[in-house]
Amino acid sequence: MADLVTHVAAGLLVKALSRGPHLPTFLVGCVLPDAVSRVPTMGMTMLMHEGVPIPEVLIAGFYVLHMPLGIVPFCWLVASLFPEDVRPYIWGNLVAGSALHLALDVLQSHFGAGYLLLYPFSTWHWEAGLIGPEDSVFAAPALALVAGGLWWARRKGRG
Amino acid sequence: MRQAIRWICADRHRPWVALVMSGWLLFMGARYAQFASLAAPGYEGCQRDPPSCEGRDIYMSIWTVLELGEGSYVIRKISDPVPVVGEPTGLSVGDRVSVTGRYDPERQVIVEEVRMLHRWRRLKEALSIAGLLGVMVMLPFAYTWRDGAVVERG
Repeated sequence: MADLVTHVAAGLLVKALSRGPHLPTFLVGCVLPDAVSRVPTMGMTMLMHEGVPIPEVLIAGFYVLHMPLGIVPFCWLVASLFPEDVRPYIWGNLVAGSALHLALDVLQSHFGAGYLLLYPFSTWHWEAGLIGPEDSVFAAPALALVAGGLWWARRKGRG
Repeated sequence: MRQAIRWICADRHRPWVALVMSGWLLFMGARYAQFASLAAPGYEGCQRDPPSCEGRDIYMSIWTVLELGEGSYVIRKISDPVPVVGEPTGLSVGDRVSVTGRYDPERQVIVEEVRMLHRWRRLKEALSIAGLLGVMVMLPFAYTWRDGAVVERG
């Protein structure tokens, strides 16, 4: 995973350039794969290392929320909390934000396996290997400034 | 396509679609948990049947250094600590490393072949916490609760 400042800034940049609606929902989509898979697994792992009896299968199970066929239904569950008339747009923006997240993540290279993009239909895994796992930290401040500046300019332009 | 999305998002189908979506996630999670333990057994799997793993390459991506020794070190991610044979020069306890190594069934250790020190991992984690907090702070300004549903403000 790239860091979440990079993910949020990339989302802000896309929305500022496309001038599309539902910006907050798109940004939630940009952090959702990590927020609902990495955060719980890291939390449970820390508790397990402190002696709390947490089954490893439970921890592994959360990883599917960082896969395309796991995050799409999860986005629907979140969208189902919204009124019917906006639900398709909320779902669409959550899925689009999550897709941007996963697209940025597969640019990285890790030791061993890449990302399982077609699971559970295939165990084929892939990542582009273009950037190291921590390279995004160098891009994050500049990306955040550019994205924030563009978004601010767009807001001001709207009056 | 548009029709299908409208159908899936309709209020009258919501309980059934929610059931199907939740069931799918439970199925995927259970299947992946089984796959993760069987497909890539790692050190723990090799310990259950050491001769079957002789010479097998084990990949450990972004693990934490727990202990440093003479010509060896111990790392951990989720489960039990893993002893690695390799010069720990440049490593400190708490560092994040990725290691590719060969399993040695006699000594029941991983013999390091390639190691990468993730020097900027803590900065990345700090940026991730900042990004997540930023979105969480935004939530009450962006959404509210009305008539039993979440609605966007503005």
